[in-house]
Amino acid sequence: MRLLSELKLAAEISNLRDFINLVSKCAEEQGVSPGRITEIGVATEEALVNICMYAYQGATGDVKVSCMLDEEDRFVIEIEDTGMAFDLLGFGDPNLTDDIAEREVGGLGVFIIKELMNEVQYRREDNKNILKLVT
Amino acid sequence: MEIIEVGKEKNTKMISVKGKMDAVSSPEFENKMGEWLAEGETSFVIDLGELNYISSAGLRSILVIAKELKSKNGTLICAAPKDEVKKIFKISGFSSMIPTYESVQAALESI
Repeated sequence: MRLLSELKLAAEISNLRDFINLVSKCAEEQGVSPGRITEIGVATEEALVNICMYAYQGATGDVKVSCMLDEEDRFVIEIEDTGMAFDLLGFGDPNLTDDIAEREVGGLGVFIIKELMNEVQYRREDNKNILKLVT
Repeated sequence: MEIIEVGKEKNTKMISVKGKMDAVSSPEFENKMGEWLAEGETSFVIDLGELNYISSAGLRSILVIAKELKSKNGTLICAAPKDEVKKIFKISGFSSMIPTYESVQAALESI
């Protein structure tokens, strides 16, 4: 893995765009297409919003986003927090066929990450949640 | 994100949403639409032609408003989504849940 760039800030929605801008800029430098950069931005946002809302259970904490190239030169984003253990891959898929009245509000974020990314891996290491998004 | 009141046609409020609908900006959409609903508007066409980005936070806001409109026998129609937005609509099942047309004109003709 070759580190391209990283940013660590408080896990707050107000910092969301700083993270997305970093990831987008980094992807652009690697020659990723504009349409794909938007998708990578959306997937990263979904992961970060989950952390901002649930990882620290009302307390504060940081989140670190790292952009990397793996051995196969694939653009990889790792998102790291020290909040409670949470493997989002264990999250069930939402029902996508309900109509407006029945459709549940929320629960789409994780599903969107899985749909947009080529590979999603989770590991718990040194009391950290590390989510790896391979584009 | 920018929310623009384009006008009114066929008793339908025409709105244009531009820029990014993310977790930062989506509450603003919900608030603005909520105000129009409170004023008695029940029919909307939302032009997404200049919306470049939508995340689940944006979808959530659209769904909240669509639910409220549904309970009032109102309608929310989306128009002219770009490819990036169209893909997120498709993945999330929104394209089959929220009436979405290729152009604002087609959306208006459906009313």
